Amino acid sequence: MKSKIIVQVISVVILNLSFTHTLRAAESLEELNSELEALKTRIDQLQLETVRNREAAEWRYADSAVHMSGYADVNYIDSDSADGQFAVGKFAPIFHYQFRDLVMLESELEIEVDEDGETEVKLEYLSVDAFLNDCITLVAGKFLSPIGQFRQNLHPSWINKLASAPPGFGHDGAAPVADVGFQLRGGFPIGSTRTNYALYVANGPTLKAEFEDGEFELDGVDAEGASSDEDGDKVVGGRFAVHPIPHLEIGLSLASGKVTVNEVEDGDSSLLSGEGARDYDVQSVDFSYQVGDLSFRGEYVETEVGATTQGVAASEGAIWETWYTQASYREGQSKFEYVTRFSDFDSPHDSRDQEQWAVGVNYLFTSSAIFKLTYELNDGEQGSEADEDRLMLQLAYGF
Amino acid sequence: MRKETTRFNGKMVLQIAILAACIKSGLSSVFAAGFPEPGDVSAGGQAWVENCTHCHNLRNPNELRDDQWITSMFHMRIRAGLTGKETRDILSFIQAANATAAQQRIRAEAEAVRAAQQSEAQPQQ
Repeated sequence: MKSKIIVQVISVVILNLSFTHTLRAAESLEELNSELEALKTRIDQLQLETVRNREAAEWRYADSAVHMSGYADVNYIDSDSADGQFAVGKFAPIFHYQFRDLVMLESELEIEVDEDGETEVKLEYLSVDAFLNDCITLVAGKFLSPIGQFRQNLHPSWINKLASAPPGFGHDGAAPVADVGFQLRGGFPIGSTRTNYALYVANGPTLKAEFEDGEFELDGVDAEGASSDEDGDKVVGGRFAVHPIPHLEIGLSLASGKVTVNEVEDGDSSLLSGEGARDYDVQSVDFSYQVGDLSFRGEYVETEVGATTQGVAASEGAIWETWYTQASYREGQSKFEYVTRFSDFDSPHDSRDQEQWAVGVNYLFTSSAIFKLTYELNDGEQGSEADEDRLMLQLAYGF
Repeated sequence: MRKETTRFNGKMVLQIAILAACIKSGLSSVFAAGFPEPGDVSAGGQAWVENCTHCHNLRNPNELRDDQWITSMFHMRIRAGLTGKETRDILSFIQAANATAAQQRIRAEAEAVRAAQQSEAQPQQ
C-alpha cells in the first residue's frame, strides 16, 4: 500500500513536470518565431541597405560627374522717360559634364524674355576643356572672351554687385563678349607669386556698318562669337595676370587680327561686296584688390578698328573705349553690402557715349541669393537714352 | 659618299627637353589614378579665401554635395586660372568642411531624437 502511494506521487510529479516543460517549450517556440520574424525583417533591411550602399558607391565612384549650375535674375526698372516696369532679366543654366580629371564639357544658355514677351535663347558658351596638366587646360569651342575680367568672371548677376553691367561691357560695347576658336589657359607660380594666363586663337568679331549722310561709317563691333570668319584671318590674343601680394590681381590683355563688315544697320546687308579686312586691336588692363571688408576693382578696354578702301562699306576706322572702377563694402558677415561704381564709355557715336555714377545697396539672403537696389546717374547726349537716370531693383540667384 | 648626320645644338636640346616635359606631365595627368587626387586641406583653406573672393562672396561648403563640388571646382579652375594643385587643395578643403558640417547635422539630429525619446518615456514613469 505504501509503495503504491509512493508510485502515485511520483507519477503525479512526473506528469506535472512534463506539463510544465511542454508549456515552457510552447513559450520558447513563440519566442523563437518572433525572433525569426525579427531576423527576417532585419535581413530585408540589410538587403535594402546593401543595394542603397552599392548605388551610393556607384554614384560616388563613377568616372563621370554631372552638375547643373547657373543663375537667374528678375528686375524692376524705372527710368526718366518710361514708367516703371517689371522684367525677367535672364535665366542662364550652366551644364557641366566631366570625365574624371581629364575632360569637361561646359555650356551656358542665356534665356531672356523680350519686351513683346517672346523668349530668346542664346548659347553664351559651349566648350570642351581638356586638362592637359596642372598648368595647361585646352579650351575649344565658343568661350567667353578672356580679355579683361568683367565678361569672363563678373557678368553673372549673382556676382555683379550692381544690377547692370558697366557701359561698354555689355553686348555691342567696347569689350569683346565671346569668341569661337581655342585657347590655352591656366596658372603657374613664379616663386611665391601666383600668375594666371589665357592665350587664344579665334574667328574674331564681325563689323556692322551704317549708311549716314551719304556715306558708310562703322556702327559697331559684334564680338559675341561668330561661327564664321569671312576674311580668313584669325584673331590672336590673351590675358596675363599676376598676384604680387595676396588679394591683389593685376591683369593685362591684348588681342589683334583682322575683321570685316558683314552687316548694315537698318539696311540691306546683301548689297555688301568685296569688303576689305580691317585691322582689329584690343588692349585692356584690370585690377582687383580686397583689404579687410573693402573691395576695389577696375578695368579699362580699348577696341580699335582700322580703315579700308575696299568694298561697298569702305570707311574710316573707329575706336571704342570704356573703363570703370568700383568699390564695395560689407562689414564681416553682415547681410548688407554697399557699392559704388564710376564708368565712362566713348564710342564713335555721340548718342551712345555715357558717363555713369552708380550706387547700390544689396541684401544677401545667402552668399548667392541677393536683392539689389541700384541707382544710376547717367550723363549722355541730351535727349538720348544714355542720358536717362534709372532706378533698378533686382533679385539675383546663383545656383 | 658622305653620310649626313644630325647634330644637336643647344637650342634643339632645349626644345626637346621642353617637349618631353610637356608630354610627361600631360601623360601623368592622363593616367592619374585618383579622381581627383586628394589635396592639401590647409593649403586649400588659404587658397579658397585668397582666390574665390576676387570675384564673388564665399559660398558655404554645405551648399553643394561633395560630387557637385568636383565639377564646380573644375569649372572654377578654368574661370580663375587656378593650377591643378590649387584646385585639388581647395576641393579637399571644401569637402572636409562639408563632412564636418554633415557630421554636426547628424549629431544634432541624433540628439533631437534622443531628447524626444526621453520626453516620451518620462510620462510612463
